[in-house]
Amino acid sequence: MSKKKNSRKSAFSFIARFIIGGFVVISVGILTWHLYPQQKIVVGCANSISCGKELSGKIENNASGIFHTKKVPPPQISDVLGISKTVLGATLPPGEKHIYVDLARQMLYAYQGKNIVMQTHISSGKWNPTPTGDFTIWIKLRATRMTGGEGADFYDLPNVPYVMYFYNDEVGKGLGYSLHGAYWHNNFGHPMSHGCVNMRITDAEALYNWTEPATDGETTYATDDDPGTKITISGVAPGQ
Amino acid sequence: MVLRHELSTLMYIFLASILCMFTIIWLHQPHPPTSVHLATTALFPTDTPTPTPSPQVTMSSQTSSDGIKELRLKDDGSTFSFTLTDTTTHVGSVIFFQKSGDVSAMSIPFNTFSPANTYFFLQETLNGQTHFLVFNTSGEDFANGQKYLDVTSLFSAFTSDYTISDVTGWGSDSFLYINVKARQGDGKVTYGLDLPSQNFYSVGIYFP
Repeated sequence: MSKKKNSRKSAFSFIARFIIGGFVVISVGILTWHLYPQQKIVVGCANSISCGKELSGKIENNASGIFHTKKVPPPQISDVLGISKTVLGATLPPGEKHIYVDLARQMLYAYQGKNIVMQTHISSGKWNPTPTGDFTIWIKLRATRMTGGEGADFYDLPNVPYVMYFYNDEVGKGLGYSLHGAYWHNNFGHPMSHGCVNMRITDAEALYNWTEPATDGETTYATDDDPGTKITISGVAPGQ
Repeated sequence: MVLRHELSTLMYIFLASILCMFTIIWLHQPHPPTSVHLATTALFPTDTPTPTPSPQVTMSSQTSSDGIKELRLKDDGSTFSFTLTDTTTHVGSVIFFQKSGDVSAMSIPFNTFSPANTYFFLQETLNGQTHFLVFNTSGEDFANGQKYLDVTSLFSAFTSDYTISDVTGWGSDSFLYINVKARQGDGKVTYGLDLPSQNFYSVGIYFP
């Protein structure tokens, strides 16, 4: 009888300790959760000077550009630049459009449903990393001016062509991250930008005419009826 | 004995609390995605599609960034010939050809054209060694009367401390990026070739 009593006491003691222990662990967890909040990645502007100020379209055919102390003549914006009239995926079945950017390989893949419509080299951020995550295009501009950097790194580039700005909850619209054509370098496949995803002009043009919202003039906003194409950016760029 | 039992229970509770705390701290650290999730990873092609070569003739081409120029390579097994075409006028001409033999392979890199299409560069395998050749898109000779500049030979004459591992593309219309590695050690550097002066400059950062 005494043995039974002892074993019952022992079991009760174990359960009591388990409950008290669990309560202590949960309390420590809740306290830690509140005292050590989740850290968000702080993302800066893609173009440190034009960021937030120049997110509107601007065509400047008589302007001159500067990139890393060198003068760069910008492309003249006219129909002449619309070399390719082919719309990506025109002969393929319709499907959800999605762009994937692989920073490790410096590649961009565009899908229409399960069909790939574009696969090309890009240049992501070198002086300022390109953010990763899932994004949505919110505005498309035929051209705009991008300015940033300082000293030998200063750049002022008018007529940056075929700009597709994207955003998410962490990377706001005002930070100015985009896919766009680049006319000042041809080093695609290697990080070269200040955060944006640089592409060949012809690749950017084809993507610009394919992505949603459907292009309507020099400035096209995404709407509830015509939301922007999704972009997924992942991986770690070489050298970072 | 009861006291030891109590102490061991307290120790387990303490360890569990510490583990819980560190787990929460780790979860609250920023962890950017390092790869696309499985559903989409399978969609990423692993190789760039290459044209299936015919038994006799292989063709490849690259366009300039603005789409205005196209450089096409035709390899018929005995000769590598390069045709440059203006896509707006559809006028093209053979700008360079090389008999195969000592040259076992030639190719057109993705970034072949300079940003304003003033120059383009090719890659060739000569006697087992990789060489990079720069041409004027206009077809004109360089100031020294040469049809093209052999970047590999020029760099070898510039320094013996490094060898070229790759020529990646253009930093500007007249500045070609060259990745080099030290002959001794693991050093890697990016140099730039300024075409007008034919001088090499260390870029100061490495473009991987």
